[in-house]
Amino acid sequence: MNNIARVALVGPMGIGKTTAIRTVCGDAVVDCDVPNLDLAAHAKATTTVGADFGEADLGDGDRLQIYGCPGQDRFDFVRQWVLSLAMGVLIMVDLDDASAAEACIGYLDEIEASPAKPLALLLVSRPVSDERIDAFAAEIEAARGSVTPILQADPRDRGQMLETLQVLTSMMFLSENPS
Amino acid sequence: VFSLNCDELPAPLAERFKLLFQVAGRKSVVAWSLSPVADADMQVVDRARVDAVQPTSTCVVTLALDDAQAVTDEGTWVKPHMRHYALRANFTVAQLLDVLDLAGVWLLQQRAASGAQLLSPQGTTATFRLKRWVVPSGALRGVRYATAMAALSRQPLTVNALTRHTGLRTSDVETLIAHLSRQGALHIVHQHTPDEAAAEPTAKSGLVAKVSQWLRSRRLSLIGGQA
Repeated sequence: MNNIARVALVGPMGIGKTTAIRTVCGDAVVDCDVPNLDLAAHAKATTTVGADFGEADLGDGDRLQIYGCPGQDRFDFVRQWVLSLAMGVLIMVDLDDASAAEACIGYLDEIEASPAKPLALLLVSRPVSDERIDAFAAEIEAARGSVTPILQADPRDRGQMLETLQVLTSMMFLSENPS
Repeated sequence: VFSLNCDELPAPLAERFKLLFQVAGRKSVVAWSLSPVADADMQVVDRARVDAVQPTSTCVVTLALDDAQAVTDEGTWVKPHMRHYALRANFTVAQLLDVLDLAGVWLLQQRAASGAQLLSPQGTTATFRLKRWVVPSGALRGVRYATAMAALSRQPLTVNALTRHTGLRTSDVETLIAHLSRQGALHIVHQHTPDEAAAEPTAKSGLVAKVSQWLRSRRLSLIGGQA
């Protein structure tokens, strides 16, 4: 009763974390967007300064909470706090971003070092070819020596986001019930 | 190494089969060789001559000269312990490779289950683990296949455990395993654990299970709403 499953969304500014939360949770969302003063980093009009937060009622007082971490480096401490609470993490990536692999590896290292050690799944949020995803996966695996699942989903597409979360949840279940 | 026999094929079909087998047999996820029928793991027969299938065969490929035969009902000749794969007479190397891969995964499971010595030492279970992530081909996309691959990225699992974990049919899991093996994306591991020890609990419980149920119900209502 009154248990909370927390999932974190991380990724660079403008990747669609706030959109993804709204897509999954509908109106049950609190966002912390303010006007974006860092237009050099991204042209979007607003950006998140706290942790965006959406919630779903699972029944009997249990809830699923999805947190979007701010994409800017100066809010790293917020991300670390969210990761310390999360059971699972979607790392949202744009493969057209030249620094995508480096950022991803950084997030995965940070997640591994987090006390909660949440499970991570990479979410490619812009359409790209299968070959590019395979190449990206190989780059990440070569750097980290382990396999991280990579799925492609549009943050605006509720069906795709629910499917992605379902795969992440299946990993969480497997982790709780190891063979 | 698995063995197959195609002595019961009529000469033109046997010639074509052996020619294409020289190529496909080298590319399959398991090693294949030709052998006498008594030693064969798999029999390849003319669809019109299924009476030549040995009753003890566990794996049979039929080739049909008449295309209509290739899609006819299997009838009663396919026993519950058998796997049957059908090819048309004008089959390609790629189609033969698919059959060899699927049969190979099936035979691998059979050997593991029976404690056979060659590929799976006695007392061990054949398990699979993802070596690298690849985007699967069109037919193997979807949340259940992604769930299977995500699970394989975490720990070695048997076909049976994957079936329970994902809700996929055994044949679908075998198809995925064969596909991933062909991509060089799988480790095959023999673990000294009975299959049931590598199984997922069948009844999901707890908070994570509630999240999973919520996500599934929302997906289903979304699909229902679109229908």
